[in-house]
Amino acid sequence: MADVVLCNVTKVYPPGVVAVKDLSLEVRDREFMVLVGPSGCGKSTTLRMIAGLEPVTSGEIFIADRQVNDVAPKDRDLAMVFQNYALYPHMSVYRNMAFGLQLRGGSRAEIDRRVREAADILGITHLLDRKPRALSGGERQRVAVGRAIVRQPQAFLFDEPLSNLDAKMRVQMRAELSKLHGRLAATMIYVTHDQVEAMTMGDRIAVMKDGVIQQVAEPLELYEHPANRFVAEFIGSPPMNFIEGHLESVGGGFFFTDGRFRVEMPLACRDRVAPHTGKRVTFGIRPEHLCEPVMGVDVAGPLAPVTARVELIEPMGAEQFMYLSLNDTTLIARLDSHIRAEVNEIRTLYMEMSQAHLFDATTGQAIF
Amino acid sequence: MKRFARAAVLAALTAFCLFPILWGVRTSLSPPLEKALWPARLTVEHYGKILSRADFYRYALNSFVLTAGTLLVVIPLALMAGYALARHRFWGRQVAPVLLALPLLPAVSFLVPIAGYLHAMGLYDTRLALVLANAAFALPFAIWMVWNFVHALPPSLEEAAFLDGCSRLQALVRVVLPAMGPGAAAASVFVAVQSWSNYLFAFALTSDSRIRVLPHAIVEYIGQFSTDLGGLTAIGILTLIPPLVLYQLLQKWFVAGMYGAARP
Repeated sequence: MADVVLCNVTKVYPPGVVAVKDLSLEVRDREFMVLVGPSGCGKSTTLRMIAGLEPVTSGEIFIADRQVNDVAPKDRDLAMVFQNYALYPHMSVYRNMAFGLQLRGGSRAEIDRRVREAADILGITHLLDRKPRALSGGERQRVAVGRAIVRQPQAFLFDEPLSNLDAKMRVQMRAELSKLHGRLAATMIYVTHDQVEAMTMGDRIAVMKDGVIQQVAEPLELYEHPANRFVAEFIGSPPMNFIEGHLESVGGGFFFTDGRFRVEMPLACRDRVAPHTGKRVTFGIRPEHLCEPVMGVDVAGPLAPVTARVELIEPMGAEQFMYLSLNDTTLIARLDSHIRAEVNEIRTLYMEMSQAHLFDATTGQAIF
Repeated sequence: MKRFARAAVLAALTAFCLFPILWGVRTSLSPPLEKALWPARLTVEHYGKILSRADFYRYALNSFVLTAGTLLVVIPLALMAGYALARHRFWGRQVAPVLLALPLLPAVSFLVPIAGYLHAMGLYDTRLALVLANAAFALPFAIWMVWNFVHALPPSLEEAAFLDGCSRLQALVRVVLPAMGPGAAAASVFVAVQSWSNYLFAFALTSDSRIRVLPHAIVEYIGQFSTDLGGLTAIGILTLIPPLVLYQLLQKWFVAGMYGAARP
């Protein structure tokens, strides 16, 4: 297993489309790194450059401290799992898994032992004689993973491997891949557009947009302290609520206001807020931090009331999503399912100000 | 009622398409000069007569040699060209769709230059001349079929092979070529049927009866035995059998190849 390091990597496709821009990232040995972002953000291109399937326009890629820019994919000692599985259609499952080992040489007994061991880990021993076309989507995915793990490569690359599976199978495979990572203690780089996959699987997550890494952090750090508005919006479902407005200073306190709605900024953030006085900013609050305080239950920090009209209620079972109309903005609140409300009712909820965020409206960078 | 009407239309269309063959079968199995639609008795005497002629076997062998030769020339070229067109970007690739138009042109319009050309090369009246002419006309469509098929094969197949440790050539030989099987089969059926049944080149480019092929022989028979309808239809039916058997053998692959159905 090995570190994978990208230094100032840029990828430009003719006639000048920049897919990845000056990207630097260090994936540590045995780390599960997730590259996440919307389609076209350059995450798959980045993975393909690490694999050697796309040449790098500029910058350097290192695998286990060896610069691999001009090393052919076959000599990088990586294994990759593709979105469409890419199983060899004319080979049995066994031969699909053994193929890479055969190419690298090794005794037949050793190859057999490793194929059967990998098949056992993934529960596909009974499929070894079948051809890929006789397998279900989930089974094909397991075989594709099996083909990767028999090799014991320097690092594993996953390119949206769960996208073609149905929702239930996706959740199951997600957990299995996480367990597999724990078991193999291998370096894994995983590309997905699904923030839930990113949050649940990654040791660290790199959020990408327009070929640029927006933030690299552990999942909770990313969720609680997004570096900018894009990350705040992309991570979390339902997404964070945003209200556009500006900052004003009144009587020594700092207030966010959109003209009608007004809320005081937490005291602890005064130093960071002060330089933005009079400027356009975006106020952000996650749906679970809009609450209806229940008697006897403590909420950390100060609360700020917000009164709005109920637009829609989505019961989810354990909880409900309440859509509220505040002036021109829709806010979503994640509430306990026992709280009763009617559509069109005027309702007052409370914002946990210790969990609120503020972003520079021009640059999108987080102020706190 | 709607279903009945549909079945009736389909039955009429099927009868229309199959009639020449059914009529050929009926005539080849009827006694000479039988006039009735349903012959009173069936006979295999016409087949016996054809199969007892030594020259029939020679013509059949010539047809087999021609077909095999054409396949040997066309299929490797079609696989390579089809793969290159599907996977690589290169100068001049944009004009490749013309390949589709070439088979639409009437071969007879090229006959004179082709005959002159082969004559100049000293190939006139040889098997090689027939193989080359048939191959030249079958190649564009065969390339197009393989191109279409490879286009439907996910590129990640080769990429997976690269990461498994294959060089470009190894990936091509060990992964892509075997996966191209259905495409190659479809192209082979097309090329084989076309060269097996081609009369025009055989007529124009050969005169030696020792290298005469079956379609040419049938026309010669018509000249010699124009009243022997039973014998003529029998040799026609016998000539039909090899392409039918080939199609039957490769049917599954042929359909998959035609639709570019590269199922993993």
